[in-house]
Amino acid sequence: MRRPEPLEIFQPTSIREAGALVKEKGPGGRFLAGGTDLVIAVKEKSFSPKYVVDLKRIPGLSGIREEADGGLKIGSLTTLREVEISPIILKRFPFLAQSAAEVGSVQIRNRATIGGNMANATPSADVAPALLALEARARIAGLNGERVVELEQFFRGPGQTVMAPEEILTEIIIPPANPSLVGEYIKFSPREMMDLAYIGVAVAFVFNASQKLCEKVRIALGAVSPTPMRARGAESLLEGQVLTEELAEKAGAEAARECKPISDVRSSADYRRDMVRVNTKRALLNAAAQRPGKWTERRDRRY
Amino acid sequence: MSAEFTVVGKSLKRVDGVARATGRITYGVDMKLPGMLHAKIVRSEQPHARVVRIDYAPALRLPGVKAVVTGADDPGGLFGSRMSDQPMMAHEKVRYIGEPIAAVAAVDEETAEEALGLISVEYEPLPAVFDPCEAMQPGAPIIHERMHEYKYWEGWCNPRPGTNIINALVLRKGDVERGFAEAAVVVENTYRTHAIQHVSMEPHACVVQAETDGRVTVWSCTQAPYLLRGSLAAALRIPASKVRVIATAVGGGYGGKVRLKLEGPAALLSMKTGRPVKMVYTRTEEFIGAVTRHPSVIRMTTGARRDGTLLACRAEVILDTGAYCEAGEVVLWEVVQATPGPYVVPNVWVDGYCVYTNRVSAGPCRGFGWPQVTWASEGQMDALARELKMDPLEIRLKNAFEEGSISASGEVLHSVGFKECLQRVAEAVDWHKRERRPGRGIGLIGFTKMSMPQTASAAFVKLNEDGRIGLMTSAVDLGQGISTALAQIAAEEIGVTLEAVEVAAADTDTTPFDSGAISSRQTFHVGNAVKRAAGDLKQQVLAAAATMLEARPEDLEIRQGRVSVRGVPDKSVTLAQVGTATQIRLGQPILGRGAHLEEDIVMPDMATGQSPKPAPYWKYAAQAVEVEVDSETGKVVVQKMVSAHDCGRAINPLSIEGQVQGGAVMGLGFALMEEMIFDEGRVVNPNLMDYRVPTSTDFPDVEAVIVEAPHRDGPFGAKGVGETSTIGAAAAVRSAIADAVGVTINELPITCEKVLDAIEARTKEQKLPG
Repeated sequence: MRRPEPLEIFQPTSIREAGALVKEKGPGGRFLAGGTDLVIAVKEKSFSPKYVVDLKRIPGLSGIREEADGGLKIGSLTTLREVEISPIILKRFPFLAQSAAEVGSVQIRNRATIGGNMANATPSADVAPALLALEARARIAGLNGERVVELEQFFRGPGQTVMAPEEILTEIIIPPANPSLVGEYIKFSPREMMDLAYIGVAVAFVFNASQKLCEKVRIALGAVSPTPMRARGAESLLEGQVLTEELAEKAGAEAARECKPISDVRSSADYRRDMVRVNTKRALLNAAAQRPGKWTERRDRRY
Repeated sequence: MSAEFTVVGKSLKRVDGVARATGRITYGVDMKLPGMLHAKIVRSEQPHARVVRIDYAPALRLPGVKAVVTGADDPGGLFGSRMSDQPMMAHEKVRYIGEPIAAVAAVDEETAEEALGLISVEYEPLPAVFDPCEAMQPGAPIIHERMHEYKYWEGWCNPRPGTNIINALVLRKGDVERGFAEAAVVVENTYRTHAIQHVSMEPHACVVQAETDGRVTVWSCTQAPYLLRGSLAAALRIPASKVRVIATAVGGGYGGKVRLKLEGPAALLSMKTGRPVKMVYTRTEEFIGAVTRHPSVIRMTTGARRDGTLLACRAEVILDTGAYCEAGEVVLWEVVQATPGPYVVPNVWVDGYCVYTNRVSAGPCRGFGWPQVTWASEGQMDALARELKMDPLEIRLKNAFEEGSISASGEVLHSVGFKECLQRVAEAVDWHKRERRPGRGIGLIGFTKMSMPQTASAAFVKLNEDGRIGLMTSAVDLGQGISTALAQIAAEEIGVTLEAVEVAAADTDTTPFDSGAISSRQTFHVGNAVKRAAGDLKQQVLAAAATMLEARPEDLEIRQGRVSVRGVPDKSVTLAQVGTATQIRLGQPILGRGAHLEEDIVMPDMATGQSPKPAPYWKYAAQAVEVEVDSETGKVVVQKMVSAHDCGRAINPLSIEGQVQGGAVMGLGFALMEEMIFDEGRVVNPNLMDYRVPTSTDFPDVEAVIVEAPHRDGPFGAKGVGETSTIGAAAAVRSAIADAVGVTINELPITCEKVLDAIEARTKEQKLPG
């Protein structure tokens, strides 16, 4: 292990203080949440932040809250493990809980936070497609107050977001959802756990089960473009339509056309496209059948 | 069987089980000595280059840095297994990315790491070659210009100086052309296998102390203390007994910790500083600076009669050994002996080549070349079965070796439980009554492996004054349970319980010679030495007790630690009384000595590969795998695995089951997940994120089946099982996929993408008109 360059660590107790510190210290600093990305970058990838601002002393940044309007608010320091096992999330959006369960190991998930995971903006982050399919928004606090942006606008590229250096992601907001909303997340990777996604697909739609009608269809993809992305062409194919296997297949093909995968050490771009096609179809059909994917079974094997 | 024995054949608990399970055992990475320095290695960034200049003055100026060594400090001795071709540190040129160029010792690991950045190396790049087939071509860049000077063992190596072929061996039997002419069906295929890493839980680690009297003491998590001693002494150009190797507990080896690695630079640094020097590989260094499994290209042509009887096999085996042999010459030597597999083939023609390339060396890796040739030979058996529309089990049983079969090298085979292995796995998967379900398939394959000849084992067994037994060998327990097995053998032979035996750790100053935990040999070789030493001790005990009891030695017996006159149980002495009397009063301490003998080995004729007894023994095994293939994604899910092994006699069935299960999962990883990916000689995935080893959730529990065909030379009939456990998994997975979806993948690893491509290609083919 390389000896980290000397760095200053601050532990502010308010968002204002945290933002002010960054403003004062200037560029080259990093916020610290769970540390599962930052600490590894420092220890193993020779990353040397000039200073680190630890957010964990700031009260009120953690926890999952159900709003009166039916929406959910997830504090940015909520761990992925909390998202995974939250009774509210399991009841309302089981596929979001599942997407959190797909990350790393339980030890990692006990540390990693949803805010850190989003702010780190990895294209393959498992939670991102599920949140995009729920049309989640990000609450961002800056020195001059707060702003709320669509999560889809939040990501700008690998490791890049719309936030200014002194801004802090404080909350993920999931808008109220129709009680008939169904969804599914599929992570495709060769290893059952502790793997990065070749591709990820999340779908969510309001489903009239008796007529098999789909409305408000949202399809989001991970690991197939510089940022987690929505597959709008595929969505529009399904909007207001009766879901059939043929239509799901078509939507999968459309999603495969829309995505922009690269070839790397894991997989070729062609194969990623193929997997988007197949797994989008499967996610749609699984969601409609309201049969949870294999993940609960896998989770049983894990613990 | 177990009725004959009281200790052997029982699933007794590990003698080191509690220490391992509680983490209190001392591994190499745990070693600490007062005043110890920490060392790191500067590694080549070039695959093939002349080293023009190394500037380490800035590193020496860094506070805390105590010494830097380079090839100039290396006395220059070359080391190896049967072919000595490797220096401890690069001299003049580097042959792979990752080769040690310099090493630095500092007061702590972080300072040593920082110093690495202050050492600059100037290279003059040379043309490099990365593909073994290209490396064999005339005009390829020559990686070892001084091959003609290298020392090697007669009978093992046939180097071709002026080329990159470091070993070229043959096997010739009968007339293959005539065999093919008579064949009703001939299949020809090319098979490829890839590089994997052993991924031991514990990385390579050592502490080296250069003593004031010129000796060098090494604590290392080595698999082979005496081989390490020999290699280090050769490299340092000092007598072997000037080096003392003390074995620490080992957190997994799998062949990766057999040969000299970081101990060399650590020794040079300790000699320079006079202080103990510790070195531990990072996980990345395990990938770029240790050894891999040999990638291979095998072309094989096999012919059979209409009824499935094999007639001829011709094969070309090319092993890519990377920059140095690291036992690659022996890997080739072994696999050339039985390339066609464990089947009677009257006409055989094998050409084998071990070839240098500019990438990290390949070396011993659980299976030692046999996973590669099994990948080919079992592919051929499947291909023949398909052509002949025969049941894959039937064609194997029809040709399978059995007691008294004549091998391709002309050996009359003994201790051959192969057919029983095949039948037992077939039963376990209900082969004949299996139901056909779409996307599901079962593969069933068989294979063999030899244990290499010209190795040696010795054992000392001592009687303590308290009547307990001290067992001294240089066997190494990697977690496989050899300490327990050897203690069981000693206890059985002497007539005491397992608890009465204390097993000493290997220390080349006190425990006798052994070739180490290689080639699945310790149960057989060290077991034999221990059995003989225990027998020797027993005779001495009986003689001493006879004097004490005023009886004749032949009338005495030892049971449960007591020597008594047969039929007169009252007339007895305890082993404690014998131990005390012999050591303290009689001045005749009891030390039993024993060794394994290899009297009947005949090294194969270099021109034909023929030998009536090339190996101490052969192991046989069969494996069956059931898979489900997702035809839309190509993903293969293993549903069931059964693995049957002829281990001669199971000394400790529980340990064998553990070996068989662990090996099977390693084999499935090789088949489906693990792959070192290279780009111009650089490993691009040297970490456990991008190099996937299976987790506990990926594969099902493995059913282990023990078959016993006792070997006349084995201790109580026992043979080894460590490597066979892993060999056939990939071939079984391929067969199962073919059974499930009708596609055959002959290039490892079997990735989802390859399976999907093959399925799509087949679908297109079927849709073609006509």
